[in-house]
Amino acid sequence: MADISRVADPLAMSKGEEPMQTVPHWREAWVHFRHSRIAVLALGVLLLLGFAALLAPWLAPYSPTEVSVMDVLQSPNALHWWGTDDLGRDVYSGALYGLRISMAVGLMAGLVAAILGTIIGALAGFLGGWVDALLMRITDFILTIPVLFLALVLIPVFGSSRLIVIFVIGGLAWPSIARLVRAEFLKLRSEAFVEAARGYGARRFKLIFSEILPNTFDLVLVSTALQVPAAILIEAGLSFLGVGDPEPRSLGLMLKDAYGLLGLAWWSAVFPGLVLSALAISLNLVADAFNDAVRGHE
Amino acid sequence: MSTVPRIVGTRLLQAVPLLIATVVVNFAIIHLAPGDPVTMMVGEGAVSADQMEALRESLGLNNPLHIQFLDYLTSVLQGDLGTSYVYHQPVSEIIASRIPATLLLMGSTYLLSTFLGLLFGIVAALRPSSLQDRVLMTIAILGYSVPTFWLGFIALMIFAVELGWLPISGMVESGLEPGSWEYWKSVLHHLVLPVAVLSLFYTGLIARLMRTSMLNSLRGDFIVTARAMGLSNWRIVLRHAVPNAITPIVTVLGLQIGLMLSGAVLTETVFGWPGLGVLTVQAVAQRDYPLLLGMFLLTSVMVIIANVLTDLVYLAINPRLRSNG
Amino acid sequence: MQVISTRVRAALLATTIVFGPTAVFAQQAAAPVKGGQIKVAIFAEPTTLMPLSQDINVQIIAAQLYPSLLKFDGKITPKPYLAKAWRVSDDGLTYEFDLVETAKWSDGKAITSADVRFSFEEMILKYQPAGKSNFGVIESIDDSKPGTVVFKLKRSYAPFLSLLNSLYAPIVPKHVYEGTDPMKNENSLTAAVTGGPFKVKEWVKGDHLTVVRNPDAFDTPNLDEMTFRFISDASARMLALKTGAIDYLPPSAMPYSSLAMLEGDENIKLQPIGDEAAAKVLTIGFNLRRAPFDNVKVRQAISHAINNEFIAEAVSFKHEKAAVGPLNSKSWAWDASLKGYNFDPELAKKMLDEAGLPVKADGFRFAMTVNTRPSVAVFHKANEIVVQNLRAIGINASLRPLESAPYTASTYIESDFDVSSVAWISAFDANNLAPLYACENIRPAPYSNFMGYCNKQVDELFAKGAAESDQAKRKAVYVEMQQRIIDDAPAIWPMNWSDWSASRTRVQGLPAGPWDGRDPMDDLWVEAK
Repeated sequence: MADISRVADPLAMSKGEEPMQTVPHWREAWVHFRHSRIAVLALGVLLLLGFAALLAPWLAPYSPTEVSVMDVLQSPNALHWWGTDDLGRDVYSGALYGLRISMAVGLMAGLVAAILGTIIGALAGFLGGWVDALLMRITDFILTIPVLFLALVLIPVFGSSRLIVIFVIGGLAWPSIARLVRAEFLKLRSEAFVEAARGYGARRFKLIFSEILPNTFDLVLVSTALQVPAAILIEAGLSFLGVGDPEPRSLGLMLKDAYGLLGLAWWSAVFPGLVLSALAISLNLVADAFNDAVRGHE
Repeated sequence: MSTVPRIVGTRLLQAVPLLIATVVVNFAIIHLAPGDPVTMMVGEGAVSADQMEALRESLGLNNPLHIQFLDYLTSVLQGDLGTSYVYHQPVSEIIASRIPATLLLMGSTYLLSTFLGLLFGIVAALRPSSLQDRVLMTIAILGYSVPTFWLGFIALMIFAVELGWLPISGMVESGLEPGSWEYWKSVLHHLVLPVAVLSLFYTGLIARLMRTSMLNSLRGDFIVTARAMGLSNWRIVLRHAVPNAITPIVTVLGLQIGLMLSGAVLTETVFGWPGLGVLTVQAVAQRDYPLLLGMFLLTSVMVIIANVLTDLVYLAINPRLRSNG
Repeated sequence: MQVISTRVRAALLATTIVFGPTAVFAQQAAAPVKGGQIKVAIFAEPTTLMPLSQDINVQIIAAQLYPSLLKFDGKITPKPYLAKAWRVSDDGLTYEFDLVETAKWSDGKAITSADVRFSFEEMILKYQPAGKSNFGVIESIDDSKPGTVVFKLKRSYAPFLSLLNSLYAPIVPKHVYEGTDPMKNENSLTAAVTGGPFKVKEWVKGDHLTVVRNPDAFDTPNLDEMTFRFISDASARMLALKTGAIDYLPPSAMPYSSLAMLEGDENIKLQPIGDEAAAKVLTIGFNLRRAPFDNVKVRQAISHAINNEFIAEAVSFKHEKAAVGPLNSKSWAWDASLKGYNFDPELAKKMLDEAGLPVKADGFRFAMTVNTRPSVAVFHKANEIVVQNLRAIGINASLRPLESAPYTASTYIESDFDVSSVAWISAFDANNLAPLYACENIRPAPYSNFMGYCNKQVDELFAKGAAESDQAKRKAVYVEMQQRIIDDAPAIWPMNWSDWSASRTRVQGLPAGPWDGRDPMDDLWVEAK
């Protein structure tokens, strides 16, 4: 489960050059996206989950961590829609806040990966030569590292802070982004407007920043979107194995606790698991459709 | 053909510094770990400071870090991965004893999900945007989006606890003669749930890859020409489109071998499968440094071997590369 | 698949019919059945088979492989084992044990008094962490007669007999261990030479270890075979017992959540372990070296802020009551007159204000961390509640999760914590509180006075209690001592903590001693299917 980031894009993995379609305008992409009913549905679910996470403090009827003597192990009822756990914590409120954490971790790990991937891809694509060869060799290698496995060992070493989880996951998720950026650089470098800019004596890094980078933005975005659900699942897996950060409580941690209670309180495992699954599924569906639309694959 | 040995040689040579770098990084990382192994070893019993010091000395933990590293490197080169702090046994033996279980789980999953994944990918790509395509691809995405550990436990509750069809934990019923028919039947019985859950994930991945690759292949000039020549549809698909489509994803399939360790960690934990994943989770909790170093090294070697093998398979099935190096 | 499913169901059905609750009663009086086998779940693979290991899973198995002089029932009554008879001199200084003449190690050599002497002098006293405190009282051991071993004690020591169990005093073969490092000795990994009721048949790494009846043993167990399966997940263990894949869960494999889940299942027998002797108290200690915990007012205020009743109920799924003070209320030295801290957050806030710790601009009085071990459910759940209780009175508390090794290091060795929890067993005697609360035990070593608590009056009472021989007078001393400790509040004591084992009803004669199932299971038998 941990490594879908690795292979969500076969063309990023295959050793040949990526066949690059011209990037359509966003509006065209949206028209394309709308064609897929399931993608639109997933986008709806995702927006719903996003709002729920954003508005968690207002939507949650209880504090996610507040323990309560009177409410231990209640099955779903009018007061506790998704029941309570063994310390009387409201599962629904906990899942809302957990959703927030999952989303934050996914987005931040995605951000780390996007920044690293763009920088490395840009360097390789622009400088070429041995720098390119070396960077791509490293990229290939990192693509093959089992992230969850490595994180499992690294995180207890550096302490189970969530920031470290983000950096480890993001720090290993950049290769497919780097490959795309590099390919785009190779293509755009030779294009006329860059040649023109070079002709006017523009500096190299200015060239990167003002001319080529903006053109890679769409690709980085879709490719990052494919990494986010993977990051979310890795974080949940780590929490489940007991090396995550216990505060604030994430969905993975709720599931870990719930496992000890499954015979007593099925609801404490089922609902947070459904939320986590819904998040990963809708993200994957949307990212996928989005990717198709932008990159023009079927 | 003469370039092939050269490529193989280059790849193997590139692997050497990679391996050494891995050993250095592993050693450095693990020695940054908090928690004193000696404290862990004596457990929660009253031990005098002298005894702890003696233990520390006997483990070489008082030596400067670079000496400890040189000692480690020398032993690794001799195939000696040290002695586990927790089990008091050679790390190489402990790891070796767990490899068959993980290999069995990962191997079965790998074969099953590759077969099903390729099949679903091809079927979906034959009629893009049709109902069968959409249904298969949605299921594929579901497959790799649902957290395996959660799915595993739900499956346990249903099939093992409620229905009683399958065993709850472990790899084999105890008391059976190893290698006997009953023994393997019991292993197979224990294998069903973990392989099913883990395969769902990888089948989803591979199906998606295969579909994309297959679509590209079907669009190729070659196929268009073949169609124009009036070759039958099935013939085109099986003889030309499928082999062409498989070539680019061989890389991906090869690299999955190393990556599957991640999936194995979670699946083994949920199903109590006595493999490397469970061993690693325990070693992390117990700060068993030599064992962790050994697991790291094994993982790195697996990843590097997977890389080299994949390159070779890619060479073998891609004649174009073979001729021009 | 279908075939198996039918078979499992049939088996379950059969169990229900034959061993329903009424049937159990009728059968309990029946004589033990010879033969049969059971499966036991332990929570992790044993790290070795060295009986002096501190690994509880090793100890459970080693108790089957190595003999001890005596064995015990739930009331800690000594019973003959390797020693078939024993005599204690009137002054309580000489203990003589006659060994079973036919006792043999599995390599054919006789088990003699020399093995016993070697085990105490060279193994237990040197390598068993509790060896010195348990047996430091031994003056000399006489092995001049092979069939009789004579212990001379420095002073009369009442608990001596009760310590000669397989957990504290396993007897190992001298001819195998002499002159070697016991941890590195090959026999510690294979247990090839043993003398207990069982011997190792197979050890499938990561999965299970099977022992079979040792035909040469001095003691013949009822069972033919026992398999110890390593199942790390508590739910999986519990489910395995429920479905009959496992027959017995020793206490260390039975968290309270499993207890709650197994209740009401008529195929399962739940049994509390060892009663008074094994009774523990969940002890969450302050680091008295650190401000503001060096201030007794602050500790008392926090004691009022913690909802002990809730912790006890929630953590134990209503099987335990809140503790009052450092001793479990099952202990003879505990008394209902002891006065603890009632749950009163308002009072706690007032006391903290008075102690000069008002709520600051950020909404908190001060920040602190709570050491916790996520892998130990009782600690972790209690600590989660403690954090909530602390935040409710304006203390910015957060959990600090640590695994076994760093936890022990931060708590006992480096004293780097604000509060940290331990499970304290005051087995046998209130005097066993001394390692945790006496001044002299403030030292960087595991199982010491990690809080840094020192009260000379308490020390004097410990000494007075140990010297007193009249039980009623001793109790009075210890009650006074407990009240002083409670008033000083070096720790909070949210819960009495005891252990349970669970088994299928067809399993009879389970170890009932206080050592969490680390006793020989030679008397265990199973009703025929």
